Amino acid sequence: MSNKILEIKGLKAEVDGKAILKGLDLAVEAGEVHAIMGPNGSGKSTLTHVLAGREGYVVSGGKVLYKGADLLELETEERAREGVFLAFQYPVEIPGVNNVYLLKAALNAQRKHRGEAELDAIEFLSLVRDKMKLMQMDESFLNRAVNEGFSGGEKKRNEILQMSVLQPTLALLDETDSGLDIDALKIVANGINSLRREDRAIVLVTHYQRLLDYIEPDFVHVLSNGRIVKSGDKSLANELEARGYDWLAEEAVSA
Amino acid sequence: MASTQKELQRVVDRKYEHGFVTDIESDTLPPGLDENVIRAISARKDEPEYLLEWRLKAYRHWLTMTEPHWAHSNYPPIDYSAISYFSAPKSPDDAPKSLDEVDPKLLETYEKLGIPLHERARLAGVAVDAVFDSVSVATTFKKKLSEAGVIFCPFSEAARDYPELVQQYLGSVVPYTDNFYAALNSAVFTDGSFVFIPKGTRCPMELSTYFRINAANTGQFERTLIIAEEGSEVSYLEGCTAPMRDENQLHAAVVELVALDNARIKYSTVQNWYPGDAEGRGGIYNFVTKRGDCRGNNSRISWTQVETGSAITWKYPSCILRGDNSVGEFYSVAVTNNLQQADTGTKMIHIGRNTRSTIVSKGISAGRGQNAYRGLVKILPGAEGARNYTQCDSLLMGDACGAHTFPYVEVGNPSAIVEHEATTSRIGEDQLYYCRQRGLSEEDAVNMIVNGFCKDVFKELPMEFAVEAQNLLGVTLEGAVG
Amino acid sequence: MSSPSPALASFKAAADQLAINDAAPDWLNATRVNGWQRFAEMGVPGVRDERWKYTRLAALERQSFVLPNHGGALSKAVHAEEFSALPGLRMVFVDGCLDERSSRLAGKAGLRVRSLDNAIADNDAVVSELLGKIAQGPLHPFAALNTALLANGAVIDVEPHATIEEPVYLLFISSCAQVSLISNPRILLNIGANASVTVVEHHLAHDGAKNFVNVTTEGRIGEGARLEYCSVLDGVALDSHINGLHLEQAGDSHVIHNSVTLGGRMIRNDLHCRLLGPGSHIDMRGLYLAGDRQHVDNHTLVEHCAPHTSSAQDYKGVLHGRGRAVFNGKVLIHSGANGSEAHQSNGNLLLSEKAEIDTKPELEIYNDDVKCSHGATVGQLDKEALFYLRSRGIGEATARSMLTFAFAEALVQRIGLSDVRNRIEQRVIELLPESERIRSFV
Repeated sequence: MSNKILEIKGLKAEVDGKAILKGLDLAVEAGEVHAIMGPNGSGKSTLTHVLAGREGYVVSGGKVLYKGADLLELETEERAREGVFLAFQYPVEIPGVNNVYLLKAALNAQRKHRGEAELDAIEFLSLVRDKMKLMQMDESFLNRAVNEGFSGGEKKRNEILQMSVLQPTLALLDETDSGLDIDALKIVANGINSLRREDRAIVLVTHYQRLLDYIEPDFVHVLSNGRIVKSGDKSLANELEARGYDWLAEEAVSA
Repeated sequence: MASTQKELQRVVDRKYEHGFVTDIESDTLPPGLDENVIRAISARKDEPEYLLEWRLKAYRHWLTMTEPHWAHSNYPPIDYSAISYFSAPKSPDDAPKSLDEVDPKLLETYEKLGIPLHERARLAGVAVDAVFDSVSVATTFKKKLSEAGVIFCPFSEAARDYPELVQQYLGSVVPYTDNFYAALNSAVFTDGSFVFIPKGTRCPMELSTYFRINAANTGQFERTLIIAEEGSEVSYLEGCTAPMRDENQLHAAVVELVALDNARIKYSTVQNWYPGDAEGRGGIYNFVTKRGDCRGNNSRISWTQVETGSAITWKYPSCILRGDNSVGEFYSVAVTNNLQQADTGTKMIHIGRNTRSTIVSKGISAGRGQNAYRGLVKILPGAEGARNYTQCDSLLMGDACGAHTFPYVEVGNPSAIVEHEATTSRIGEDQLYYCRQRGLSEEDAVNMIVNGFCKDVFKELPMEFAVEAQNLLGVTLEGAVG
Repeated sequence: MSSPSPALASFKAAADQLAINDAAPDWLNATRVNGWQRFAEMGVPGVRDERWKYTRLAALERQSFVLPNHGGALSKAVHAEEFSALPGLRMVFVDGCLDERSSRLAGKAGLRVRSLDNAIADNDAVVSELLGKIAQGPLHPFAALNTALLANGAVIDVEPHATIEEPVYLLFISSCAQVSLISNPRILLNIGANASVTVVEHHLAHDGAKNFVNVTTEGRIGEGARLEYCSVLDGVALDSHINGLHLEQAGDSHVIHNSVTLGGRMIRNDLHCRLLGPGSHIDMRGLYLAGDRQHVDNHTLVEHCAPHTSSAQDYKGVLHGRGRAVFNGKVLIHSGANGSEAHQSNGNLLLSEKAEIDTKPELEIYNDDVKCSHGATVGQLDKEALFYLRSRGIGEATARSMLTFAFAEALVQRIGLSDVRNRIEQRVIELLPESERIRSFV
């Protein structure tokens, strides 16, 4: 059994009939952190939504294996229960639904799926309280409606809190650093680092190198016009920071 | 999108779970209405003369009235002469003294509805006065109540045993001249509940009645009268469900509440009558008059309702805030799916000084359902310091439904503060996607969001009702998202 | 059937008089006859009519009216009330008749402003395209009456792509105190695609004038066009006044409507706007004051008929003395109007024991992809703000006046034309109780 958690081969996807991903290849093994960088409109967010199974994101070619099995066959919630977690760039507000309620329902859906006993309220709360300390979140937060009236930083911290409770096998973090001031960024990065594990893979999608100062990736990929055009180690991110993305596009054209 | 639509269709198409007909021989009057029918009803119930006279006056007045059509609903004309105005289940004994004496078939019916009578009674400490068709057949916990001095009995029994109370209060909140359906009810009502809480008494348990409609072509006309004397307190629960049926059935109940000085009445309803099939066939017409009179100073009347059933609902549980410092509350969840139409809301009439009212209305429309809030807040010139707060929200699911808001605010006193807020929203694709990405099924996600939307109302319900209400909402709406 | 009311009988007589007495073209007479038939079918609405529940027309019905036959003389007193500093074209009507000497009708590039009389005589295409085409249907009996008694009015025609900097000013003065007149001004607005214009409709009355003014305005706003329309009813002296503004908006058009009613014995404003094209928007702001024996009724109806249309309504009322006001705002979202947005708010200040407000903000929605909200409040001045001002040494009465003025001013300050804005500010100060206290502050 290989250690591969995610294997993407020649993935093509379109949104509203427009091709966004045009033959993307990527392999991610357990324990690794991959950063996917690229200019706006290169298809970074599309990739995360295709992997999470959002409606309207149509796969028109290629395949995606998750733990060796076809990921694309699964419904959105089945992927989530199998351990695929997407931290959203713009987490949606759900008025009237408490954070604590959503978290508990999500965790128990996953446990049920795995044939484990559902947690009762007391077990669950003690679990969540520990995680909240890590994210430096106040307990009153649990009884607020999901993302409603949250600041940008609170929304992102909430995403990482959910990740820490749900303990995914594959975490996809979509522009998790956007809209954060430096203090909030440190808290979020710290949370993510604490979730690095031998049996977990993390894919960071980001436009800027800033987040990578705090979370050191094992691999950096550049996504441009729907394909991975260059891969490297951490130094690639520094190069992108210094030179921008344009040189890559030129390289891709001349290649 | 496509899979969501399919999912929606699948769940919406789910048949009514409580739709079946119990095979009990009915003692039914032939269809039609005239003074002889009213005399027959009165005679069968062995009523005192004063009540018959009152019925006849109501009937004569009804003949002068015309059916109202101002509500936001459409339905074919009702043929009042085709309705049978009396139907009682046959039992070896007229009034069973205990559950053992209750028709086993009836108990079986309640089992099917998920309301095991004995279990509920034992678990919840609830006294149950079950109305099957038009006659009460089971009353429990009478002893405990009578020790407290509380009277809780079928209306027909009260008419015989407590004539002075009935004469004093019957029609004092909803006179038979009030409206077309109240007049009809006054003429032909068959039974209902009577509650009297004496001075200074806190009713030792929640009171509850389950209404059911059965037997073909039977209009059902309940009459409920609750009197809370000075300083007393009572919580009354009413819930119902109905069997699958082909023809439209008319239901026109009247509920009157009277709260004297410092008294509190809490009236909760979960209504789940047959709404008709997906094409709108069958289903109950529910034209109800419910009104509470805060007659005394510092009195309080709260209405909480969860309306998921019926083909057409017109219902405006109201409060007349007569006493100084009296408080009226209305908390409502109304759901319409398929071709259901609901036109519901409340009236808060502020007469006394420093009277306060709160209105929280949550309307949910799905399928081709039409949901209207219609409310009146009236501050009379003498109602110094009156306050009202109204929150009125609509949730839409699917592109063929409608949500409407018709709030009337009439203010004649400058010290009044009245606030009305309303919003309309839908369950967004992005909200569902977010929840599903966290591992929730679409049905669970919808349930969660809808229950969140209704939270402010559910928390007003007594615990056992709140759970039932949430389940009911789930059954009515699962997957109903476009 | 009881005999017709004096008013109805006099309307009938007026309609008959026009039908026989006029050298008008046949089609116009036919239009009038048709208007009368429709009005006669609907009749004068009573309180059982939901749209007239709070506005009784019994006093109007007891009166008997005659048509004006010539313009009255402009008095200096009234002249002082007008927005004299407004530049641009203007038409002045006295008792329903055009006062040509006071009007200014020279042509401007891209803009034609002319009397309805002239437009009819010339077979102006705007007339045939607009007259009776927008103000119609069973909701508007008085638009039908206006058609039945059609006499004169204004035609404003803006060419596509024309940007008209100077406002078009329409002034209507009621002066006749001898007999009760009914005047029926008809205003037609044709705003071409991507054109832009501001129109001011201003109504004044001499003390003692007993006119029933029944205005009907029909406007078609072309694609991408912008219109700012100010309706100013300035008048304690206004007697009976029914004002119907009916608009149809094409895609991406943008209308701002400022409605200011500063009192009057029986005032009814109807605004009916249909957003027919995607991206069209209307912004409606209304201020109304009502004091002793004054009744002001504002009815609005916005129909969202196309996707991505939006509307915003903000109406505020200040009621004092025995003043009474009605607000009924209705938003109707049709099933095809995906992505539409509508917000509605109505705030009321009740300053006296005898004042009364009836407000009814309605939503009727047949589409789930919408964002709608509405709110209505009735109350008094913010106690904390009052306390704050008093803690700074301001006397209570003055503090009250300041806050009352501020309540109204929130709407007035959004009026684009400074001449109109300033004049209305002055009038609000004059009309609010005890507001002389704050004259120096404003």
